[in-house]
Amino acid sequence: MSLLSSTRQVTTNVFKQEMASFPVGLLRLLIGTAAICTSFEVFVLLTKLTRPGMIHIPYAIRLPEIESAHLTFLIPVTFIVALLFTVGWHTRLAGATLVVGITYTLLYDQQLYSNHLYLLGLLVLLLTISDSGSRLSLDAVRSRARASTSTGVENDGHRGRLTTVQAWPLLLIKMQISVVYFFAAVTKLTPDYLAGGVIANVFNGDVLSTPSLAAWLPLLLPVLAYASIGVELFIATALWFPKIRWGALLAGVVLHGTIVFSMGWPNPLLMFQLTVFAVTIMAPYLLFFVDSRNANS
Amino acid sequence: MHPPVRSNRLIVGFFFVFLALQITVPTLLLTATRPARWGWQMYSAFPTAPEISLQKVDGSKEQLVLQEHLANFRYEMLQPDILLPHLCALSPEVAAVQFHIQEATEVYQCHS
Repeated sequence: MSLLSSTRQVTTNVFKQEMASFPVGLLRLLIGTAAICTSFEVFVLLTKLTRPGMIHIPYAIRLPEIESAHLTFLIPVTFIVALLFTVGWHTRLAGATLVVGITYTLLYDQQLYSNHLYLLGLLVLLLTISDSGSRLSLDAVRSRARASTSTGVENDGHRGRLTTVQAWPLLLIKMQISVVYFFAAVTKLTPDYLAGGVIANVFNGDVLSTPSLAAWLPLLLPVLAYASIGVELFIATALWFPKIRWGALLAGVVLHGTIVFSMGWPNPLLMFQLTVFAVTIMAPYLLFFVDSRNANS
Repeated sequence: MHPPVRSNRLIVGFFFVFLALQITVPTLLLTATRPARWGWQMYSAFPTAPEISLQKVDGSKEQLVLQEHLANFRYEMLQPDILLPHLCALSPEVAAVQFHIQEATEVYQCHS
């Protein structure tokens, strides 16, 4: 078989793969919850931005201005849309609306960019495409009610609930998670980061100035710097290998737990924001623990 | 029946465009000043925030507390090329903006 036909066969198989819908529904619940939490953070920033004297820094293409009067409408609408996506009521419409809202926020002002909002937007987009509302959702309940009076949807005894969904958007989510960890690691390969300079600044000063720790800092900071890069590269790759996948999960818990407590403590708002990011990036680990199968098998 | 697998050109195109963007954009941004947006460069750098002064047309100088004018204090924005037009627009009285970072001081004229 030629290389071209092998590649074509692999590509075709990728688009035929399906995945169990239950973990995808669970992922939608977690990402939707993160979206609800993030919407509060975004609106705090937007409210600040509409105050007099604040600098608005748009990108090259200037989007229509958001004024404080608009926020009284936008805040509840966005919260409700994020809630609808979470509970899976008209999931695709809610998801698409949420993606539009996140995209507008990211492109409205350069100050509104954050890596977790960007990642959240990509995950909501892919979950919307992947029919994530087919399980653990109000859509599934409505579909089941309809199926009790008519047939037409293949199921496994859970009437009206799709038991599988297409796997290719979920493969993109898995790849996205690896891409995030990979680049988070690679961009830290700078002399300043490797010497521990960045960690010394972003870690809580009270923790680092503890007498028992302070004496070891010149040695400890570079070790932590190298370790953080190693852990991120390990997660990026290990999630793909069943034998070391649980190690990747453990590494993720340690990495994000350390970030939340060492950078966020004792600021509850910062701890909350870092926890939301941890949930956003770790929830998709779930997909690595679920096998895909061929639609024809 | 389960919905048919729609391995059509649109899906294949979306898949590869999405993947290509997610790899090429962060790769290109590896050469940009860190931290850069859209490149997953979280905590890759901790730039020093500049001290900013506004020089007025009457010759007076006013120290600016940047946090009072920014909704979100993000380090990748604290560069003269991004901030200058907005700082100049704060008031018609502003003639120039002075950026002081560590030992270096640079003055940018507003109407050059």
